[in-house]
Order: sequence, then structure tokens, then C-alpha cells
Amino acid sequence: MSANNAIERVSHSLTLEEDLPLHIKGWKTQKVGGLLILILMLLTALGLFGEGPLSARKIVNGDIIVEYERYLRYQKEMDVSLRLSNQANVQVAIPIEYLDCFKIEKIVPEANESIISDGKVVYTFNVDKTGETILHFYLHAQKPGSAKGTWEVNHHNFQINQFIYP
Amino acid sequence: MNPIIRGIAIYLFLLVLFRVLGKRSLAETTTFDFVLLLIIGEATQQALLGEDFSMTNSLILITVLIGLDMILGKFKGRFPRLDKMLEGTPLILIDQGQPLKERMKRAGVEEEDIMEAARLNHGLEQLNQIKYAVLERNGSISIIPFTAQS
Repeated sequence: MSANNAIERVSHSLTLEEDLPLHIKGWKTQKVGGLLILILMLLTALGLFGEGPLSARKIVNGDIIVEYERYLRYQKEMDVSLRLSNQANVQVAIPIEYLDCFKIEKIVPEANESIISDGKVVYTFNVDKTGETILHFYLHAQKPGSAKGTWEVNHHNFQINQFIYP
Repeated sequence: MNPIIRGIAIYLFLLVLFRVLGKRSLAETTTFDFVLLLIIGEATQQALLGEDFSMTNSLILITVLIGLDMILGKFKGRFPRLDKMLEGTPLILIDQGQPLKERMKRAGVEEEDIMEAARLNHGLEQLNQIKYAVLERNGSISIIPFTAQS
């Protein structure tokens, strides 16, 4: 309050509508707004809107690791990567409901076979030698909002929860 | 996403952002600020159009943006309080040759800015030649010099 009292009051001869209380409110709002912008910048750098520690997710289940982004942006590509150790063949089943929110851009390496079964798209990859295998699913976010689904990789379940910003 | 929703969201976001940043930020446009504005325009364009580069989409968006501006203009005319909130009101910065330091500090205006306006518009040399300096709603500084009568 004392800071506001320091603002000079003027009695002038101008035909001018100066609303000092509104200016004071505006200056306060600008301060709060500036602070909010800084907080938003910090959270963005940390990954609140994707690509950062707040967004990176890693699920380990047995010898399989699934990595993905928790926060995505509409029409932005993202990568779900699967790392498998000592698995002869790989079968990945993705619920069709989950794929409603995405367009599959590319799968690296390409699947040997893909079939639709029991409300899921099942991709099969043949692996010659056991060792570490890495698969990448490049998906394009198509629907803003929440995207949830349980991916099944060689009968291990991975619950993927994502949020797509508009 | 529906282009109308995109247009409204971007319009309101920019309105709030530039209001929060304050009017001097636009009035003091430097060459770099100009470049920054171009980049903002480019980023906004992509968010507005998305992947739809059809003429229909751009016509819809232009209509939405101009329509919103028109509606807001009508509302501002009807509700003076809203007009004041969105556009602000003038602020006196120099009174009878005396700089009002606290007001200048809060508004982010330096004496140099006022003298620049005084030189450019009236060819004044000293601060004490200024009767009133007013930070106008559009962010410019208007100068009323002392006259022989005053």
C-alpha cells in the first residue's frame, strides 16, 4: 500500500481521463504476468509441453524397456522406443483405440507382419540372433487430449499415458 | 482443430500477452523488436493454419480475426470499463516541468524517452520547457510545452 502512496497525485488542467487506480492495478498485473511468463518458460524448459525431464517416461518390465514422451503436441511426431534383450522374436500389440489418437508415420525396422486381432494391431518382428533389439515407432499426434493404452510387448504389458496439447 | 476455435484462442492469447507486457513495450520498438515481431507472426501463422493451406482456411481465419476485432470494438464502445482495461488510459509523466519519477519508473519510461519525444515533435532543448508529458493509450509520448501565456 505504501508503495502505491509513493505514486504522485497530479491536479492538472488537461482534458484527460487519467485513471490512476487502474494504472496501479495494471502495473501489479504486469508484475504477476511477468512472473507467470518466467515460470512458464522454466516449466517448458523442464518438459511440461514435451521434450524434457518432466515428460520423459521409461517403463521397465523384465528384459524390455519402453521409452516415450508423456506430453505431446498436436500434429507433432513422437517416438516410442522399445529395447529388448535376449528375445528371439518380437510381437508388439497396440490397442486400436490408442491408435485413434495417432497416425503411424514409420516403424523402424519394418515389421514382418501386421494383423488386427482382438481390438489390437499386432506387429511381428523376426529377430535372427538374440541380443539387444531396438524398435522405434514414430507416431504423429492427431487428436488433442488424453491418449491411454496398454501396449503388449512379448506378453508384457506397458501402460502408456499421454497428453496431447492442442 | 476447428479454425474458428484456433483463431479465437490465438487472438485472445495475443491480446492478454501484449496487455500484460505493457504498452511501452510496443512503443519502444527497436530494430530487434521488429525482427522479433516478424518471428512471432511466423509462429502464429503456423499455429493458425496448421497443415491446412487451403484458401478457404485462410479466408475463414481472416474473417474470424476481423470479426473478433469488430465484436471487441463494439463491446469496448458499449462498456467503457472494458475499453479502459484493454486499452489503458493516458498517464501524466511530467507536470509543470517536474518529472514524476515514480510514475515513470512504473511505466518503464526514462527521461531520455520524454526528451526524445520533446525534441522530435517540438524541438525542445530542456526538460523544464515541458509543461506536461503524457504517455498516451497507444504507447506514444505527447508533449505540451510551456507557452508565453503559461
